[in-house]
Amino acid sequence: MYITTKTIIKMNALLGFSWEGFEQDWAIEFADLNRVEEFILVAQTQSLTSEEKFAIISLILASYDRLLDSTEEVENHLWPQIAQLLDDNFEISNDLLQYWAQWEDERDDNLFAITPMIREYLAKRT
Amino acid sequence: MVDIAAEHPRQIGETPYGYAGNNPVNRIDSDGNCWPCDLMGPTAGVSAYLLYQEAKESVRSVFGLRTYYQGAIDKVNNTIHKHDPGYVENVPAKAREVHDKIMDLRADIKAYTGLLQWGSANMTLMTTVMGGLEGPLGNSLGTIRGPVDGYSPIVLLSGKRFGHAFKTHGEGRDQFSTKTRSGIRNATGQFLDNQAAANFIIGNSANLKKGPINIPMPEGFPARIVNPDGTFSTPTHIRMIPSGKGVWTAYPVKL
Repeated sequence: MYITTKTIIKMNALLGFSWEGFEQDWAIEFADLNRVEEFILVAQTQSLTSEEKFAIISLILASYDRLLDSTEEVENHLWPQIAQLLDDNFEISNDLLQYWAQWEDERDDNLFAITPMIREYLAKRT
Repeated sequence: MVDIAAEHPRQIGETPYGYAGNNPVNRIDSDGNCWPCDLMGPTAGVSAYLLYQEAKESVRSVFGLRTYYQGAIDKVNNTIHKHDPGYVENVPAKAREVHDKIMDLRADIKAYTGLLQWGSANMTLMTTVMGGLEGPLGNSLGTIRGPVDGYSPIVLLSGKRFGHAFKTHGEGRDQFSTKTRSGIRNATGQFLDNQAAANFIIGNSANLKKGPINIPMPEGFPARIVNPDGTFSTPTHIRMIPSGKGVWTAYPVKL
């Protein structure tokens, strides 16, 4: 699963992103720690194709990572909603989850803020 | 002497004599941090020379290994691409995983080579300063210890500082990775020397205060664009997306 230009253009219009066309890490570049709830709502309520779901889940994970990174005091009411979204779209999300889990890394300073939660989530599923 | 790094996860399963360069009979390490430091005694000149010769041999053998290894990997990649241009699509996940691990190993070998080069360079300095044991040995050692102790030749590529830059666009993260990990199938920039890229990012950190920025790439900089059809092209800029601690991501781009 990957994000095509067509999907990016549609998601940009839906979310109001200003895209110049050369950005390569769309989800990372447009991640916004202040819009996690809004992105979750879009994923829950909009009629999206598989590619679009993959794109919005990419964006949610990157944004939530940024939120976790910004402070140690995060209201974790968002995580159950994200976990439910992952449950509902596990096939679509699996590649993303493996990436964020960073299994090959052992050094704490090399992990993303969201990595421990992703690892725990995946461990519970097996 | 107990190796103070013996419990480190990467040390488990490795030789317990790493603290003494695998030569615990001839080498003494009083605190487990630096066996060459214990050579700083009356016979330091001779010992340093022997150490230098040993380091030189190590560098030579690692260079040989690396050249052979890199050549073999490139040959395999080119052969696969020649016979099956769509191999990125066709290779199963497990094969991609193995391929990624090989690429990681290649990056490790490169970092190790850099470390040995640094060691070799400093051994040369040490031998030169102490050559023939001319002058007061204590003063010479005093001159050496400062710069050697404070010198950090390799940038630690931490995720907190460099974000996704090397995890997605780094050395060894080829077409397999750029497809599955970035999640985007468009042309993707790739750094071919993580240390050079890390130094470029650090060197331009002052430019990150205003937000995302595209900085012209120096001529000959080790980077490329991997096109969706498997061909390569030359980037013109390096794009950096600032975080408070460094970058969220950075990659070569053609504008």
